[in-house]
Amino acid sequence: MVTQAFESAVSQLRDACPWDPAPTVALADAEGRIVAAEDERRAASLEAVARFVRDAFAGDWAPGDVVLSNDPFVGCADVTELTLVHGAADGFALARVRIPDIGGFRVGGVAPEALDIWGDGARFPALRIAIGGAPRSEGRALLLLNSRTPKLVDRALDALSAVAAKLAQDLPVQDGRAAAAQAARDALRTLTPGTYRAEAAVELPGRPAGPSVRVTLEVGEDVRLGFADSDAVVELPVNSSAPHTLDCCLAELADAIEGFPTAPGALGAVAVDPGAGTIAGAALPAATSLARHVTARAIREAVRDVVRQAGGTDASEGWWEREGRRAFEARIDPDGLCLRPELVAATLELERNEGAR
Amino acid sequence: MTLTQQELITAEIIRNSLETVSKELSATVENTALSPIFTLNHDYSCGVFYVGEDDEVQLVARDMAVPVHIFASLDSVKIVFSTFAGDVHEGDVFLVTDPYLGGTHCPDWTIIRPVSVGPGTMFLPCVRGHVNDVGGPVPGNYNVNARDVWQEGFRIPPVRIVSRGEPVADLWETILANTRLPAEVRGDLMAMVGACQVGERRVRELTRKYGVEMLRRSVDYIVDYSETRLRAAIASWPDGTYEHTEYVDHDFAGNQDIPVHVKLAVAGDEMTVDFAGTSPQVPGFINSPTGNTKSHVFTALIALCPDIPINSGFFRPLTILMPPHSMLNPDAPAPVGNSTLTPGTTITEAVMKVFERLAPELVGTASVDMNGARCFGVSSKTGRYWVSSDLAATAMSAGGAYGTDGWGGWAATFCALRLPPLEMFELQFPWEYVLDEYACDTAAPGRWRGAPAIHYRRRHTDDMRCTIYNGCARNTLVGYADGGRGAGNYWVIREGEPDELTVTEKCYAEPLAEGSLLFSQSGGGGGWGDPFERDPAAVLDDWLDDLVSIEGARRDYGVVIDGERRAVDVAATERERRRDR
Repeated sequence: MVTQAFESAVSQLRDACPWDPAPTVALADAEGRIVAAEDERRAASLEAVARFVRDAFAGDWAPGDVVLSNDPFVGCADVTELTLVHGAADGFALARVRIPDIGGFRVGGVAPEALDIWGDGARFPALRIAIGGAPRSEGRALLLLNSRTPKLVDRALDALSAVAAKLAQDLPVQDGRAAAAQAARDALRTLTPGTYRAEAAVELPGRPAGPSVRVTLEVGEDVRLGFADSDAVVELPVNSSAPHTLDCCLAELADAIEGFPTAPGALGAVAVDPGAGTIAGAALPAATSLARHVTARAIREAVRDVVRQAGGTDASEGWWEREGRRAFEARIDPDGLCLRPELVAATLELERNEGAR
Repeated sequence: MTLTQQELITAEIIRNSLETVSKELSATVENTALSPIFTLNHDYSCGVFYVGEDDEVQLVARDMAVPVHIFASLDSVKIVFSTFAGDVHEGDVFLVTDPYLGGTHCPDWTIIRPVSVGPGTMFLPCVRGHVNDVGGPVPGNYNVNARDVWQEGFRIPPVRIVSRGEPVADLWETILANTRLPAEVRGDLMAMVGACQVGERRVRELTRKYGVEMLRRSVDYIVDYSETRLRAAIASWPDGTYEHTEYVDHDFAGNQDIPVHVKLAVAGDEMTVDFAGTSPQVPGFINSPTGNTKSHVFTALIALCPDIPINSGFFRPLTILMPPHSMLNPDAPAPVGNSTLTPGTTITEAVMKVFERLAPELVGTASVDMNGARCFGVSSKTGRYWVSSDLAATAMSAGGAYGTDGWGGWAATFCALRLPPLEMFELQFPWEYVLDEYACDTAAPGRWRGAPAIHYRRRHTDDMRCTIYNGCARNTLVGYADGGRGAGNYWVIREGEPDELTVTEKCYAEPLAEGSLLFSQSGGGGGWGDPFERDPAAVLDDWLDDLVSIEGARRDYGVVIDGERRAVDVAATERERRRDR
């Protein structure tokens, strides 16, 4: 039933957002732990948002409260990834889409000249847009004023709000986290104990090799995946926030280790250290807008390499060619490292038409 | 409005009390804010607004302020008042910053605390301050390459940041997430909020002392009085139409010599300032929102009438026409980040120049010859991120006026700003000052000359980046009544190094290494009157003070100085002054 609700929600979001919104939804328990996710490979970052919201509004939270966040250092991949958290009696419903613009240097939030996160766009760590079910117009106005496409963002907000409110009614759902973690632990036992290291450079088309992601996998009583040896954050929008890196790790572990599930809770079987201050564990004020493309590739390649050394499969080999490159090239102009001009034009045209609608 | 003799005295006491409240607001901010831009540069202004039974928002008192802050705040207060009409409670505090919602540029934040003292009677203590960084792509927010307002900083519509005395936490955190200097900005924001709280206390004391009705009647009188005085001044000027065009050097986007055209019509005791003929809005970041445009007109006007109390009554006889879609009334989202300086300064100059035709002895430089720079970096000692606004580099703009030479400091547009103590800046920022002095032969000639340019040089003690936004390199500040123009502005970055760069327009995020030098010339204002009518003794004084050379004295003033005797050669001077020029 939850799956059906998720499919319906994502479909609704896609219909309401006629750009490339990359929608997803999830449900979290009262602690902010994701218990069901439409795209389980994005569950780690969604959980980071839910937990942040829970902590930020501790003691001041009621069913019907709705909070928005787009902050990479809270749990979004970049500032265009808008996540809505809808409070329910037993937890939170989350809905996420990519919005067309949130200020910064360039339309679409991808700017090679960004020295820091504010070059990507405006930050909204956790702002309430409804209180106890009643709209809070100031919150919405603040978000919309900081977008070049306020009408489209307004539309996205309406859709996210409707979807999240409906999903909130599905809470509580059965918590399978423990089972997922156990399945993950079982899968990890197929790896050969030892310490493994790998490195992958962030590749930017037509440019010299970028900073490197370095990962260490320790397989023993516990399994640890550490990025602390990666290069430090750079003044380029290729830094990956910790929640985004966790998403990448989960995706790669699930692909490269037979039986490793993507279900919420699976990542609990691995102690992941994104490496604070590195391009895999970026903190304020690093720019992040290209991370979901180019840095995700480097993170996944490095993780794949260490897992393979430890006896994992190379089932994810070719991920970049199969999926990553397509997604990158569909959005990003490789010469300018910004949103493709035709997408910018289409976005602005949509905004104009939305005004006429 | 008729008041008894005793009430008139009371009204005057109330007017002075409200101005004292404004001063106390200023003192509170200065003593409690954190950033040098507030505490040392004094880049903020305070005032008290009023809303009576007719719901008209009026400025009733201000401290000596940055006019572009306090006059534009009128629009900010109006927009807050209309946004939250019927939903204002005791203890609420509002913030608005957006240039297209009553603001000027993104870093100017306006804090307003409505204080209801009786039915239909509300005072609104208000602080508007320039916050050191408000997010956006460029540290310090002077984005010389901006093509829209989102490239200039975080935009804040009217929001209630304190509700019934309680800070609205998620709004504060959102706002502070959009600055590179959250601790500093939080401190400044709290100082502004705190100052308005002091303002509330004082307004309530006044209410207890004089009663609501007397306050109401006094405010009406105060505002009417200023209106009456200005109308009398206007009526003393000859009716007619007067026009003038001044030019902005460039728009930071490749366009040069951009006109600001003013047509002033004086008819009886009213005036109209019409900017038809001014440039359409431009691609670069010099478009001026209407609040900013009006402020610079008011700035010229208050400089012409220095003895009239400044409040909303002062503005009533004046109609300002700002053509839609023009540089002085742009459509969102045109970039506006530099508007307070450019074309602000040109607006004031153009208005002053039309008044030169009707009241020459009142006019003079009321503009600022702005050469701005924002530097930023991470301290190698502390790891702390910093952004600087060093007004010492932009120290001079004063021009000559009838009866007096230009003096050091700031001209009217930014008169409340202060030059920072150099030692304090050396403590807070990674550089040492090498030079900061008047430059010889740079003062605008005139019967009363302008202030000389300042030459400024500093040596950096850490790595940093530097963005420069320079104006008035070619169209320097004008002179009046045949006085000469100011010297104009330029910068030299990495002075003396192979990659030395002279900047007359802009540079963006240029690296400055430890040990590098930064030089600037900041020109003074224009001269007043024919330089050949300058008292030769004054020229000699200037020579003795190293402000003019012997050659400059002869060339610019027709004064021949005998260097050996340290005296004016009177006969040679008379001959020199008879020569054709």
